[in-house]
Amino acid sequence: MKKIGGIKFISISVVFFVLAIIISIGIGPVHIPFFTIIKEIFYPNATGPYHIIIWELRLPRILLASLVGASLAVSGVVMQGIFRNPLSDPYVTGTASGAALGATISIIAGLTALNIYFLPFLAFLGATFTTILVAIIATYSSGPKNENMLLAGLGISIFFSAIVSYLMYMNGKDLQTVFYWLMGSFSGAQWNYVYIMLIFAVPAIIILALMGRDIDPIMIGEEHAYALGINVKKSRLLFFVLSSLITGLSVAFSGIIGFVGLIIPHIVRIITGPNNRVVIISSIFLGGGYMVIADTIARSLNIIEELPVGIITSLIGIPVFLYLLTKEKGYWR
Amino acid sequence: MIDIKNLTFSYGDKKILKGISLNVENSEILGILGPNGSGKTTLINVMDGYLKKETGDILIKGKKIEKYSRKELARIMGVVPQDMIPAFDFTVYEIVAMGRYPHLGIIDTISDNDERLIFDALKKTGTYELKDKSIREISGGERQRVFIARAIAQDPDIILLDEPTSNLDIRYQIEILEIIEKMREVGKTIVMSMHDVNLAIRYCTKLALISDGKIYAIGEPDIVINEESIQNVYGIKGKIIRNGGNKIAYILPEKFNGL
Repeated sequence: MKKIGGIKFISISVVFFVLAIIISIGIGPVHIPFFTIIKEIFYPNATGPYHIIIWELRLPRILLASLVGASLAVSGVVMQGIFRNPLSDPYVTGTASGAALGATISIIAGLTALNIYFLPFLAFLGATFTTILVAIIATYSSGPKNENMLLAGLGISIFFSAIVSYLMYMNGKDLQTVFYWLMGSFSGAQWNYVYIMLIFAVPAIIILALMGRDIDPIMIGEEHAYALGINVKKSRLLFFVLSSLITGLSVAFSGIIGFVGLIIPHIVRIITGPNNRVVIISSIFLGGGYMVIADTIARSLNIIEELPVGIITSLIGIPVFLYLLTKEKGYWR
Repeated sequence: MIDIKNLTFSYGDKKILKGISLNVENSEILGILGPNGSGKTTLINVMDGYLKKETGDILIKGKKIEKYSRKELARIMGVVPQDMIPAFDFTVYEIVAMGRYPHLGIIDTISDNDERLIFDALKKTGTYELKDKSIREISGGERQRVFIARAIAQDPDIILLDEPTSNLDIRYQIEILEIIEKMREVGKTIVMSMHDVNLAIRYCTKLALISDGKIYAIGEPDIVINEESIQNVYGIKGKIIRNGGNKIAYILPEKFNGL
């Protein structure tokens, strides 16, 4: 497939991102015309008819979705690159299973009912704990650290999933709540979550985008990266910690949403080639915009109740991905 | 330029380098020769710090290697690892551009000066025409030249190469070695491990014969290579053919009747 230049594709992604956000603000039970949205965003009118819908209901949710989409996509690019493994995704390090355990405990112990912040807090705690655990196990095991980290993450994921299943099994009444959380949703979005993402996730994403260049030589081979002045061990750990942080935050606020972190990076690489700075910056906007669209569909379909967004991300995204894959010969050997 | 004293290295319990000492002067080409498994590649990997030495000292420009940061070292020493096909479709230009990474700060992008050095390296190695092709769709000889171009773009004083001519047919071998010779002419110091004794004699200004993790002999090719050293290091009889002067032209291995 003919590659599109980096700057060009980044520009396309940015336009896609901005349009996705503005159009999504207009969609919902109350339709809001395009230019009314633009006007309200730049000149907020507190007494206007759409003010509360836009600022209190839709914008926090849409912004959260975009930040989570961007975080997961960037995290996916980084994990695939530093582990040189196409099957890596933001959850590969066990982060998601730790978060799921935290969230399940919060729901089942009734903490969520006491204070809504317990759930994201415990989920984030679970994510962080698991990430550190995986890093420690990988550090102390012998053999190639690269594979060990993946295997340790996989092992812990399965272990924690078993605990989550056990807890769900024993607490039937909360089953649906836990299950719904595990499938991922932005229905609990609020401005505080957006602020936390802006304060912690956005700087981490910016650092990853800048440092992303160092992943290029790592993808060719450790020896090459070393020869080009990169301390592979140190920089792999830094990448690992930063992308785990943004994954942990994302999972805490939205549950476990598949597809974006695994597939968006591949789609971008097929289109632009593997240059990591380009892939990361494009993925920020493509992942963010895509998540916004998926969430808008999830909240507008309203079949019985709101659909989990993870279902939408995969149902639409996978056919696109499979199509691109057939167009590209031997993109990842 | 490079001073190595009593260098040792082991993989687990297996001693690979057993006390290597050598030095390389400014604008020399040191060829490291020795049979398979003698420690050539390990020596290159330890010299650039990729593998951590056990004991001994490596001095680069009079300073111990461990006193350099990774990035500082990459600015004075470029490495061309053994040939392999990368798993990703980086373009030739992108690969060579990576040579500039050690010179860039975290927010820097490729500057006009970087771009000039990249194009310069592409032209010097005859890979300019390939610059938009994927590194995976070019031939082995072309790929090797691209990785050498990257080391040139890195603009170091020293270039280490691990078997730069292996797996290449004779024409590519000569092309690569002529590029390396030109590097020496502009003042670079070169260390390369090699398989082919005859090519090493022709292009290296100095040879180190390694046998079982130790230096058997080091010095000018004419002094190091003789019937006895070939017999002792490689375990074969070789006839040395000299041309008009007294320079060695060729080693002609005798038919091996040991089997």
